Amino acid sequence: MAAKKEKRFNPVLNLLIIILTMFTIVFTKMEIRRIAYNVLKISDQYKKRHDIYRYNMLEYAKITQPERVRNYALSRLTMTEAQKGQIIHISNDNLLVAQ
Amino acid sequence: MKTRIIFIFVLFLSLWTALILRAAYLQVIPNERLQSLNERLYNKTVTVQSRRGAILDRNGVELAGSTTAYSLYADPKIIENRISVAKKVAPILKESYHRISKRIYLYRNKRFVWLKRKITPIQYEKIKELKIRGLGFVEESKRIYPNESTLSQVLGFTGTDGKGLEGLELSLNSELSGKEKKVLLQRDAFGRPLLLNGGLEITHPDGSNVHLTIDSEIQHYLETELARSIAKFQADGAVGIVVDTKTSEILAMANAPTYDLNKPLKVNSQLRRNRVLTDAFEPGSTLKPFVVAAALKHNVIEPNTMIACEGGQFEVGGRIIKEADAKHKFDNLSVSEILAFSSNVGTSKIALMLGSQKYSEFLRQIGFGQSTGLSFPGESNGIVRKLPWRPIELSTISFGHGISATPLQVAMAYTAIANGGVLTEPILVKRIENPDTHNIKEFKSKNKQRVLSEEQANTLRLMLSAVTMPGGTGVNARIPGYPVAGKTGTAQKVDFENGGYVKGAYISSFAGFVPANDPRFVIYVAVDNPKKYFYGSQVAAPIFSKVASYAVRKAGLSPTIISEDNLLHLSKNKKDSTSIKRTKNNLREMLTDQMPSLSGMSLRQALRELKTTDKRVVIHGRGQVFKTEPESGESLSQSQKIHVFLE
Repeated sequence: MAAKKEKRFNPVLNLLIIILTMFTIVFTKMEIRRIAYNVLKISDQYKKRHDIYRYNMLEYAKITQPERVRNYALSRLTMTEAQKGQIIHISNDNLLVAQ
Repeated sequence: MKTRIIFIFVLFLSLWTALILRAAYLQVIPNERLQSLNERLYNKTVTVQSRRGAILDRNGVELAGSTTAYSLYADPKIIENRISVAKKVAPILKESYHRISKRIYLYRNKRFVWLKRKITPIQYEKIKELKIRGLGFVEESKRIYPNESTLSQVLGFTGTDGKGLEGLELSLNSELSGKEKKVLLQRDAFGRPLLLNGGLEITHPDGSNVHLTIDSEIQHYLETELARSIAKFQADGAVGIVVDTKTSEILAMANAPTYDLNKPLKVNSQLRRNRVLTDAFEPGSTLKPFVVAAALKHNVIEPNTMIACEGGQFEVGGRIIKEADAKHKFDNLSVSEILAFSSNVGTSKIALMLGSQKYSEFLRQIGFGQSTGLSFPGESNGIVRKLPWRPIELSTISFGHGISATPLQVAMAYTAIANGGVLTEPILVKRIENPDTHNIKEFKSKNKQRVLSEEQANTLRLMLSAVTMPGGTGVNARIPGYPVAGKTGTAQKVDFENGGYVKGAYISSFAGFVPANDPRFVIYVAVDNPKKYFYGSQVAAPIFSKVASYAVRKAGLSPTIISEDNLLHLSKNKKDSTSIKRTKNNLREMLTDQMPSLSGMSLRQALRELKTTDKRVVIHGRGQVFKTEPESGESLSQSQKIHVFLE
């Protein structure tokens, strides 16, 4: 009797397995698509960050250009340019007159 | 009844099975026809343009770089309220909203109008956040030169299509541009790209980054000093070059006046020329060391060989060779003295003793009349006349006339003397790095040929040191604490239209190296057509002195002990302030022939400082000192008066 019941359910079980397998395949493909959209979104964000980084690097280079640093030192920090004979090099116990 | 239920069940089961099987057939089982349809609809080959590589100096400072820039456009037909849109967007773009609103109105019947080209990424993000219907962006690339006018003639610039047009941007265009990438992408129904086979990011491939040998700080300093000399002497222009003696790397290559690389087309094309390489002119007396070098090489002379200088006038081939300064009436001079006093007659005689064949050969060996090997667009080879030379031609060539050379050729010839007698190839590009493949190409200088033995080169170095000693023409090129070797040059300018020379027009130059005992830097400076003063010793030598003193300080080179006078002994208590005061006093004593710094002083303080000098002081204006003539640090020996300007 149990064997007869099992024989009756086997085709249904097989069909269920087939349907589940197909759904799994479809679901997996959809999941790949979803991940792909995420990767696209992240790469877009990365590209934007990289662009901002490049822009900031160039801004930094502008701010630190020698002419700007010099003008700032002369006008805002009241520094003066080194004159001849102003800088003394020190070597061991002796003062060497230079520059 | 039961049969009917079973029949309906079987019918629905069959329909669903058929549906599932059909779905399985479409999704799972490979079908060539469907596959090709899919590829045609959803696959696309996209060409991704590469981002142009950066140009950096030897310390990694960015000299030229590319950034993504977005250009903002509007679709006037979609925009409902243009004034409201303009008011939202104007503060971000830092423009007047009237202008933006007017622009949308003027193109109201069109579907596209630019509002602003190449805005910054930050502006782009802010406008995008506003989500204004009718506004869109086009992604473009923008080339930026953050140092504006530094190294302008060497770097060059790009055109609107991003390709190099001049300078290094042109000669290295293929490396900087990189290669465009072709990417096969799947797209969804909305056209958005998808991954293919597990992973392919969409990123812009970068062109290679180019690292130059240039030190941007030395470059800037040289450009500043050249610009000052142009202003001071009302010159037409100036050029300068600094070369590392040990490696033949070009540390600075300057042309003055410069121009802003971010606005290249606003200046005359003549100003954009890299005259250090493209302009060959008569080098004048800076060529004299090479006739001496050739004569030493062929054992025609020794450093102490005495040459009769005929009282300053010497007849050759029916023409009279005279000294540059009519007051110079030398009788007998040693070869060392001929260089120190820059005697035209002396060098003519040495050249005649040497002969044109040997001298011509030597000039070509040391690099004149041919390319240096730098491969820069527009580089000139200069001109060395073909043999035979008449005696008068040999004489004039010996002191730098009748031959033309670029500043780079002169600098490399002096480098050959400084490095022990080997002519080398200069290098401007240190390495090229590809950020995608991480492939690095490094460049080093090549030795071309030995032109002098080490002993001969050392002898010549010693002789050139005498030029900067008291009595020599190069005294103004001295740097306290460092021995300097070099040669001044004052060459008449050629009149290309009428032939001969332009009356009263000169090129003042100085070529030399420092420290003379172990050369590290070779520096060549030339000023075109200075007014008022024109001798190399007055115009170019002081520029050399300033640039060389900056370079040795920057490199951290220890001063050389020249004599006991240079040494001051510290007391054991290092915090003793009296030793510092004594140092200052000693400095003042040693530098009495130099103009002290008076900047910012009151008139009373300035006059107290100038008490020790015997020059007449002329006061201009009232208030505090802002300028002096001569400038601080310059030699007072050639000035009759000192002008002090106050405001």
